[in-house]
Amino acid sequence: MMSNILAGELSRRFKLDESGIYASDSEGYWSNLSKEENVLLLRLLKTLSAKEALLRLKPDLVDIVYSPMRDAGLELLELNGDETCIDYGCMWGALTVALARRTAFVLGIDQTKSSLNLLKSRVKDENLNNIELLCADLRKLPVLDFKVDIAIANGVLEWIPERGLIELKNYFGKYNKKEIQNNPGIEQLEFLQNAYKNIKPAGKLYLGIENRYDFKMFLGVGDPHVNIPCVSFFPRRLSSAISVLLLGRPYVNWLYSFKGTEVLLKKAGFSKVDLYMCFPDYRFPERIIPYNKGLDDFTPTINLKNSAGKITPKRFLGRVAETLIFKIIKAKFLSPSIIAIAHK
Amino acid sequence: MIELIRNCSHGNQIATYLAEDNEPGKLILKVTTAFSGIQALKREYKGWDWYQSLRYPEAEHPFCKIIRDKASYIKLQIKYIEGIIPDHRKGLINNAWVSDKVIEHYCRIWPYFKDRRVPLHGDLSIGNIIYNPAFGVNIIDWEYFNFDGAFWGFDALHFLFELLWLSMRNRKLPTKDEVDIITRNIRLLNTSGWLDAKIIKHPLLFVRNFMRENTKIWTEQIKLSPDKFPILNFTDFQISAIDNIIEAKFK
Repeated sequence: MMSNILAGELSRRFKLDESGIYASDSEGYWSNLSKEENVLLLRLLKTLSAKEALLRLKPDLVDIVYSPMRDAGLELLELNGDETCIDYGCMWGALTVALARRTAFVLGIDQTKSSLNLLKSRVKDENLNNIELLCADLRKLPVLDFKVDIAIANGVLEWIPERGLIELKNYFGKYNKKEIQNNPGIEQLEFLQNAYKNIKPAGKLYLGIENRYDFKMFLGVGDPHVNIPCVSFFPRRLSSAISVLLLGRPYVNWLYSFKGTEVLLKKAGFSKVDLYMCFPDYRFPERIIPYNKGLDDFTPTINLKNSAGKITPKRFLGRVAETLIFKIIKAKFLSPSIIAIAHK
Repeated sequence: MIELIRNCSHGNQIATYLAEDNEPGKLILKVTTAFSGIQALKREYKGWDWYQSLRYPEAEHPFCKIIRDKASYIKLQIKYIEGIIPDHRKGLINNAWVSDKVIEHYCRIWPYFKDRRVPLHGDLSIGNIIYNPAFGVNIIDWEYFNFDGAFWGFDALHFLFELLWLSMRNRKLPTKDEVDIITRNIRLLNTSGWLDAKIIKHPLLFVRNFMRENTKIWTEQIKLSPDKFPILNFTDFQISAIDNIIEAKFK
């Protein structure tokens, strides 16, 4: 019933295209696939299921979309099954579908039409009738009249300040001259404020993001958005200068510490924030531990063996560092990723 | 607050959580949206129901409840059991006290039917035991439960030989002390007289062959995580040698 009201508002405000996706006038492009690959994918979707098409085109992406590990964080929301939800930056629907299986209705929003096409195909494959999709730039989203119980922003906040077409494999760590004048922190705050306005009074926001002080960043591992070491924790201006020098564009994928995440969410209006540490990361979590609980029961999560079953020096060092930092020193502020459940 | 303690480990598709601040006390939550996971959790629910009805027939509240059951999403709630989880890395000798208690527990709990198979746990290993001095042995993780799954003694023998494999590590054959513990436990298992004479003669061969012939019980996980079933890794030479040593001890 409630979902009908939201669907009604969507059809009033946006145009439903021939593929069954609501379209706004603010389409963009952010994808692991190039535009050419996405054209091929759309062609494959005419005759194959979403999974088969992805397997044919990019088998290494199947896990990103379908792995059952991905949705483990949703249980932190303690859902009762009747909720209406928005998944911001839903992409191929790793969490959208998982949320639809648990709740009454999900609106998936993403700026990349071809990602939504794949998701739409997946929704049909799985006979889910409680998902609607909207193609829109998250920075230009209007505040909806209908308020939802749950909003999801998983791996989204850090990309909000980005501009222009992004084909990830041609962008991550690659030179790509670009000027971005706006303050990333303000844009991220505005996005969270918009999400806050779209949530009901007792609603919750689920935020998944890397930790600015992830221990790996101090060991020389590149930032997961630009592949330059140290920029996540360096002062923002210095990081930007380094990024301009190496990649031709400022560093805008701002990450936050646990404290910083809490401060930002409270600034956006949320009254209470529950913080969780994720190991080895928030995308494929093996352990999610309440930040307040600490690391007394911690067991290392970095697998010593790679996909070929061999122990590599990099993995070995990562495991040793993880054991030392979290099991022995218990430096929880260095945890790799953060999940925050923000209560309105 | 909820804590994720295991996520799709050993090739299963189940996420396991610890919920600490609930009214009835600590709880374990198991969740899945995958078809095979849903089947596993439904089996687990039946397994707990069967096991607890034998252990605490008078109990008013179920130990395990299905709290969400949708077409492609299921959530199980299980009471948290306080106690020691024995460490398999300590080997068979240092865990001999556990194996004695588990075999004694099996003999006391498991029903015997003359003309049909008995309930199967399917993954009775040292990692699925919680020992509490007040309540004794508790068997957890009933994801492979099957009402008429195996011959009497299968789960107990599986427990012993898996522990032996983990204890042997890269050795080809067990030590004399390890064989003594296994033999002692098989003797204990046989006090009821319910263990088939053919099984006593070739216990490891019987367990390995049963697993090979009934792979459909474990299909998904054998495919995804073969290390989870070490008994299948024993070579024919090892099986024959170990069974011969045990048989000689029996004589």
